[in-house]
Amino acid sequence: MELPIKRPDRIVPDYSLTGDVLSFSRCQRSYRYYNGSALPPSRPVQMWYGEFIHGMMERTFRLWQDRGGLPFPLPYTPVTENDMPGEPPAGTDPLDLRAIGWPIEQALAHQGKFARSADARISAYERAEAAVNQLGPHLFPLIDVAERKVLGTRPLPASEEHLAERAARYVLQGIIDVLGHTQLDGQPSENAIKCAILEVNPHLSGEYEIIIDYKGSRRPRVDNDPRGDWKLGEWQVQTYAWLRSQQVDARPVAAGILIYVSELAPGSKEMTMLRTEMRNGWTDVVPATGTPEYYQVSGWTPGSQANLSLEFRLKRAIRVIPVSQATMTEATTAIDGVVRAIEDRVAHERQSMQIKQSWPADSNDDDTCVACDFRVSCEHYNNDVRGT
Amino acid sequence: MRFEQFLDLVEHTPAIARRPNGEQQVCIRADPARPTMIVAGPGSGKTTVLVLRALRHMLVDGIPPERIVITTFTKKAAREIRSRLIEWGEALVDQAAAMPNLDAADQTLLRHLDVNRVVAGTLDSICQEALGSDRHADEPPLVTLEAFAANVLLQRRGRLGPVFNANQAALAGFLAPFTFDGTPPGTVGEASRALVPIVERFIQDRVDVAAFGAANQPHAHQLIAGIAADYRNYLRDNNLLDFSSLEEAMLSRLQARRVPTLLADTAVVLVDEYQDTNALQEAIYFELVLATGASFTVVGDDDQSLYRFRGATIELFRAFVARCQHRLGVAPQGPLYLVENYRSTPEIVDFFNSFVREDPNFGPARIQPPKPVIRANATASQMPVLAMFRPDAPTLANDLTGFLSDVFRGGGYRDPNGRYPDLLRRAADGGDLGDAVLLGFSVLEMQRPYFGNPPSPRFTHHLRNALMGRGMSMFNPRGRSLRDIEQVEQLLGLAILAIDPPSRQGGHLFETMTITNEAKFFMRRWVVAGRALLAAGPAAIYGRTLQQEVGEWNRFVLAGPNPNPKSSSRDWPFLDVLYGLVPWVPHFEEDPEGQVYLEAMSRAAGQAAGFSAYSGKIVRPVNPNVDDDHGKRSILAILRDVIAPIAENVIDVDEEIMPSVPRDRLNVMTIHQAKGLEYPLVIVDVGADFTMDAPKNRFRRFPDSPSATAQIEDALAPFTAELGPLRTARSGLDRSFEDLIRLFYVAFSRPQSVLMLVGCEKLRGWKSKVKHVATGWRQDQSWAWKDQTSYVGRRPPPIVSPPSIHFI
Repeated sequence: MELPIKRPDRIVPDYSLTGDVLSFSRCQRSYRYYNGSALPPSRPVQMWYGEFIHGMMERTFRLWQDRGGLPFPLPYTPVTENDMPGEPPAGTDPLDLRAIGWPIEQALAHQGKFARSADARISAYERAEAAVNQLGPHLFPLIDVAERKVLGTRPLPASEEHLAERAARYVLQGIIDVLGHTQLDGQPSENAIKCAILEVNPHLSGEYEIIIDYKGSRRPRVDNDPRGDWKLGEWQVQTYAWLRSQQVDARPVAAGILIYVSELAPGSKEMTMLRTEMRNGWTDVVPATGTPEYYQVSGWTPGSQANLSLEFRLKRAIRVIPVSQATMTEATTAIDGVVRAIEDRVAHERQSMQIKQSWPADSNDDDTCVACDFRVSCEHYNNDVRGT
Repeated sequence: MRFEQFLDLVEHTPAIARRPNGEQQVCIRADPARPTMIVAGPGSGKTTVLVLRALRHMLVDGIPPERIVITTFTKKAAREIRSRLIEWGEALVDQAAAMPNLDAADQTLLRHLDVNRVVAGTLDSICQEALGSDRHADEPPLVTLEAFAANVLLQRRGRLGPVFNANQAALAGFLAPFTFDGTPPGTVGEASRALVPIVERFIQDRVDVAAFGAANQPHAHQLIAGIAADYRNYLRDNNLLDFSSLEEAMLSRLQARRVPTLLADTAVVLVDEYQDTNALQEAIYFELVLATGASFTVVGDDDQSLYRFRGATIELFRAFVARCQHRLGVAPQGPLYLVENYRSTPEIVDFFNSFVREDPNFGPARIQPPKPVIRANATASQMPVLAMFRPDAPTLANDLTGFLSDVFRGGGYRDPNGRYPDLLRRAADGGDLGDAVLLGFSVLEMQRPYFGNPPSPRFTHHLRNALMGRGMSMFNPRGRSLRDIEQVEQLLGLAILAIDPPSRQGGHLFETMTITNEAKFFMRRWVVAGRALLAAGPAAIYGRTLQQEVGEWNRFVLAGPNPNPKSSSRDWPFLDVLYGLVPWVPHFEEDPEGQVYLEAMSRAAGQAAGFSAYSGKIVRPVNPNVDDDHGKRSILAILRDVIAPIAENVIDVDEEIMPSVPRDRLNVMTIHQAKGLEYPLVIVDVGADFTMDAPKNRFRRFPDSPSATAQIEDALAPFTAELGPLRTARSGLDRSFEDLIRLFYVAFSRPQSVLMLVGCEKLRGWKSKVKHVATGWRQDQSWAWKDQTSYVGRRPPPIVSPPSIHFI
């Protein structure tokens, strides 16, 4: 009797756009450790910051929705260096951002996520305050659908490595906020987000939707690097648009918007990078020559206080990406390619049972390497990053 | 689309390419307007029916996928169902779209159909998603605690320590029947282990806790009710949920008819593995169906219920027809039976059919009337059920290795007595050891150590060595406790040496702590392993030595001289210490199996950040020798909250994070883990280590008293008005026997081609006193294998030989 071969497990893999596709693009090896094995990072500071900002926006929007509006600007009792994370003092206004933020901080703390330092916590509250008070009045009235889980199934492109597949398809998922045309039509033309949308797409009419996503980071440098933040951000929004288009209640997606929250309250690092990028022509939103903003940026020295106008900060923060069938196809094809590469690495590991050989350390971002818990034995960090 | 068209479509879709058999069709076709109960035997296409019934709802009934909810018992099973649904569903949709005579309505339906949108998962995961995404603006975000963190909080916030110490006699006496070995817990840690399932059951079994802890009840009851109340209050005040309270929160929402958005439009509820449902989950299903008017189908097999110890209540499935009628006011259809087996050979099917019918006392534990015998779909293979029994575990390991070597590495295995003609060999095109699995009640490789005595090796340990001797290996991630893995010992030893060096005034801090002796025993052992690695002077990594790394941490925790790179920060997460040492134990970075162990350790450290003082960080000391120094206290917190729990073996490994199991290794797993799986060759350990009738292992083979779980059920029965009488209709001892019979029934029904039993020769002796349910002993102490052994003359043979088994 010849024994049959054990039937291989058929598992349709699930990929999240932010959790998987973006992480893998950043570094394959660290993706394997942090996502594949779910090893917790020793300092989940980025996670804390991203989830805190997201949580603040979500909670404030829900309050705005429940109460039929909020008295912007909401009060904010600033966090100081001496304030330990904790419940705000008794008597704090329930709409004070400290009161709104505390349950979010508490939930993150229960998951082992904390701000790196008192400074990082202060900065996060400042940015959340800017996002809520400066962006919220423009953004909240436009939101039609909040926190919607979207998912879609896509065929997995054929592998060039000819390794056994665990499935012929994969699932892609994400969570999005959607702006509706009715809400946009009802807003005055001074609405900063409406302005930004109409600037890119002046002939927008009929029924349509806009996808919106928030990034805790600054507006990235403009380039065509398929692993760079500019391109990945664009693909992410385009793919969200595709996922949204798969839903029964969807209307045509006209554009996607990325909000770069750090731009609303830029710190020293953001200003220094903006100056460099402006000088080199690496960024698309710069102050007009001769304006006070222009002199402030070009003459920026670390340590001084940034005082950019709200209009300019909003321009830097809001990135509108037109969406069409062609752009969605281009983006989803690119995402298919990334998923294909991940699946090839999975298949390689299945055969070799070797992690380092299967998942190259190929980070394109020195900051990622410096924060990586596995850098001590990493050939890329030690040969190419450390000491440079 | 009509139902017949749907069946044609299924048959003509290449990814499926078969028409469901008659009994499967009955289940798929059953009227959605009435609740449906399906009883599915092993290998009978249960997943096929569940998936096709869901697809029928979409294609024939026109129900959108997002209105269909499918739940199952484990995350793994949920992934499998979802994967099958997507692969079959997408293929069906493609095939249907190409049908020439499709009417316009169907075309529209198909264009927008994404089967992926079905709400499928474990009930916990669905509750988490539904409640998490559906909060009121004033409701804070919910955080669900993992078991480890929940148990620590039960101890701390339930004030178990002071309560136990002040009332040790009362509490220990009450908890004794619920401990692993039936002895009273001597420490807070042991008491906690016995207490956790009781506190969980307060919610899962919907116990009337006020009555349980009333003034007229024993003092221990009142203490336990108080501990549970303090714990629950803490969770509520801090917006935390454990898994029981997560489900309880869902039930409250449903009872108040505040159905979360995710489930608000539910039109179909399909429940897999219903035999392992608990009372709380049953209530959720009934309320969801009442609130939404959804069609309700449950699928299960009473003979395969394995999770009583986690609160599963087989009695709910057994009584489903009456309970459904009572709660929903509708008599369900069924039970509808699936008994045609597509997995195993007729010889194997005959064997497990006989096994499950052997003990007359098991009959009443089954659904009445019991489901018909399972029929094999395959033709006879001529391969009998094999068995290998040897005098002791080392000999058995050696001989089994020889057999496996013949099958998978040599030219094949042939019965030396010529009782079956064919060679048994691996598949010519890529067959390997991964086509076989060894299943056992326990797969631990070492017995629990007794103080002063080293742990003794068990059969699986001998097998690992024997395989290694023949150039083969096995994959047994549950075989050794995390604390016993060589590399874990090294890494944790190094971590202790780094943050709690012996050079501190007074020596290691852990030696002075009030932690269990068990924890100290293992911590000492790890320190020896860490010191040995340190002394071996492993190679520098990019110019950095292990001695440097450990030395820098020592200087940090003892406020040693600068320059020290570690002085750059006021505090360091313990994870930094752990990850920083990993490069010198490369198994963790390189081997996928090593990642499973590293994940368990880092999970313990990561979760501690959520509940431990200093949030899982070590803090720079001011005066490391002073008791109230934060640096010193932060190390004590790490030792107590991260390292001691691993030493006490309360952190489980999660091998599911391993993307694939190597094909060239023999899989070894517990029977519980094997639920739902199938393998070409299945070897079942029915007592390789049972050389004598030791009372301490009777619970694993032939109980002489009710199991700890059955005793908890009995203790809570008076306070669970509905559930109590249902459970106690059979005695605790009867239920303990039932559980063993079901366990081995699951094991015996896993193989596709070959089933082999392995055990100690003592189990076969004509006068054997080593009774075992798996070797045919009935609860009334009679022995089927003996009854079936025929012999000539007056003297019986020395060993039993039932004709259904070929001993090799």
